[in-house]
Amino acid sequence: MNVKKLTVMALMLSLALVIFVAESFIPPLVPIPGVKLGLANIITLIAVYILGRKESFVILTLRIIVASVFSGGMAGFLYSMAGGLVCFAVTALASLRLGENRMWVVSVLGAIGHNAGQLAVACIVIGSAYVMWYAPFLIISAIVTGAFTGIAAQVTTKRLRSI
Amino acid sequence: MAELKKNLAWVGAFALIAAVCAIVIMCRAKTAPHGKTAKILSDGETVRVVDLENVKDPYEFTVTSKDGGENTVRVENGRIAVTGASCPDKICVKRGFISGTQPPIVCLPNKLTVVVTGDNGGIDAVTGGDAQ
Repeated sequence: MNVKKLTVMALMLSLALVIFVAESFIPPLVPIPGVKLGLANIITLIAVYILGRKESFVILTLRIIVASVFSGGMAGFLYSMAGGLVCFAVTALASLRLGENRMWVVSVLGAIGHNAGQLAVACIVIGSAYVMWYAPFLIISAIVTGAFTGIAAQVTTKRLRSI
Repeated sequence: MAELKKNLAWVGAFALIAAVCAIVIMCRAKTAPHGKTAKILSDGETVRVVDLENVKDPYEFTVTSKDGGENTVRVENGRIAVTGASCPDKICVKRGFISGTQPPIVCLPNKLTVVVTGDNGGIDAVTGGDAQ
């Protein structure tokens, strides 16, 4: 790993953290737990395509750990980690087949994975399957927010490539 | 052109998934039992069952979770809501009242679930105005 790559990774981590903190100031838009924009995932997506899967994974896990120190709470950490890991697994797999012109698709698939992971943890933590009621709501929200963050990542990646 | 077609195919696929979800939501809203009783679960265990029918005097009670999180539950005639929560996001409070056709109220930080059920069995003497 060269110095340039390390610097870019550090920059992306700090960017992801700033985005995460900025997003936490936005009040929940819908009264359904788990529905959020997930703007920090823009960085994970860009990193997958610009730097590579391994590098993106490092940025993501560090972001989740540091972010949960910021926001506090073990429960929040569990949800973010479960969502983040499933999201990354889906993103990494999908990025093998889908190129930079289909980043928004990768993003939507990842967002659905994220919500599925969180829902699974919620079932275990809460100890009842009632939260499954939220599944269809969360899938719709993942499609909308995933497409939004995906398009943002796709446009940014195109711009970065032309530098 | 090929680009546009590929994108449109994905848009179509996601629209289809969203439509299926919307149908599931609507079907559930129709078939959900209209609230006779509400169950309050904390940490996965039923801590209280309340009767939602013929509530003349609305009342409130507090549910404390194992790790100390508190939620205030308000019961009115035919409907129930979480009106206070010790967690920061207050998503459960923002949900407002539910009466059966909506998904249950869930407070993730305090591991609380409020679900309206159709059956009337298993109500004990805890229900009624003397909530404390």
